[in-house]
Amino acid sequence: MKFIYHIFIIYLFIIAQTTFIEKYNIFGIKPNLLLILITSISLFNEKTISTIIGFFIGFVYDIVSSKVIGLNALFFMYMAITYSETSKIIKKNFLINTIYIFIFTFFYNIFNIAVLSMFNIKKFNIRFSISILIECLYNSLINIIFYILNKKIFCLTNNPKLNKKEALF
Amino acid sequence: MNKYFKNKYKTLVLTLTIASSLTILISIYNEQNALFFDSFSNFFLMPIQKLFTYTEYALYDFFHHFENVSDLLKENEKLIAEIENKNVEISKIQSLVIENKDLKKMLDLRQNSPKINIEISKIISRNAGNIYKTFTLNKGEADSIKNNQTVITVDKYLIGRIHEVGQNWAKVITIFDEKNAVGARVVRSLELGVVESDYSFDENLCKMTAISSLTDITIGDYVETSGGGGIYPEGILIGTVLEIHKNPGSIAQTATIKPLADFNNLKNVFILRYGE
Repeated sequence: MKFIYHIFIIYLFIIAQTTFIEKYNIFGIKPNLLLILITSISLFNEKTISTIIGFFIGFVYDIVSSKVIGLNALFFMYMAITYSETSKIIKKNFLINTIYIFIFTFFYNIFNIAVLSMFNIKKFNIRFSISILIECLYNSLINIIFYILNKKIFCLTNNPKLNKKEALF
Repeated sequence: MNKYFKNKYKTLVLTLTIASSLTILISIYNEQNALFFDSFSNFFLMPIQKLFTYTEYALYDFFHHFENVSDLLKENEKLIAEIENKNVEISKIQSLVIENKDLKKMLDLRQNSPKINIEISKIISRNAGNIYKTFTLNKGEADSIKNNQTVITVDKYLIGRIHEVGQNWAKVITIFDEKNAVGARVVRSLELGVVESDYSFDENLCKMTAISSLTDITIGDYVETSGGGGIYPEGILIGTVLEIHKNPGSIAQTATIKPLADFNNLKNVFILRYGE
């Protein structure tokens, strides 16, 4: 049942990311909802499931919006692993959670641009570095909303005996 | 190495990493393989992509529709305003067309009657009531308008005469007004009479009095001004005979006259200035 639920959530987020999120851009930069989704899923699921989901989301995202298939899959998978490994710390601290998403957004973009530059697919420029910073801030801001949703509505983040079946993600 | 593969999770991570790296390299370096991979992935994912795309378009249309509503409302308001402006313009053009026709008629009249000075004037107000017995024109003393000057329609039918004059306005009393009596004659037989108002008759009609009982008059005869009385010039059509009322034992008879001028739809009139 949870598998179908996850598929449904991923489906919704990918649609959101590829459709109306365009309208909510800041200086032309839109947030990466899938990155935020992985953090939320990884916090409330087992490491193996988080890894597979991270890979799956990345892979679907690659197919939907990337020319290089596997790039997002690889990064999202390792991101999910990192989140799962450190979920106990992240759940308890709101600030760490926000810093994490900021750093992951930053590295996600650096990783992408590094690989693409390496193979001469895209070149790095100053404008891109500014857009990375905006995206980092935007993602952090949206992540706060998800964090509050998890904490206030589902009362989960600070509960040491977390019932994973009741988690939002 | 064997120990590593015994850990299922690590095997999974390693497999996925290798798979991702390979697909990255394939999609970058080998276009053929990339195309094959694309085809392979598309075979499985095309239906999902189609679903994504369909949903994307559906959602876009859905939200775009609401965005459009406000735009359409604004556009609708703008178009309504434009239509109103156009209607005003059309109304002005229609008014100008009527005025143009009237001016042409005045020109014809001037050419046919060189001794008469004709002033075209607009009706600017009427007194209350269904049939207007008096109305005000937009010409006055400044335009050499004087009392008792004859007022006719653009079709040269009698309306009445100037009764009061201001600097730039003049009041007209029509042939329906009880103060107004017009020396008249039957066009066919030239028999004389007086056309005047009579409230016992229909308010759209006048009566012709002082007609001899021996006069040759029939229904449908045209009646025109006779020039008697010195106010109205002769030969201006007043109306047609609608009924004849013979009084037994009397030497006079009366006739009901239907004016030719359409008093309800007057807009421009001619003022006749003789001897100037």
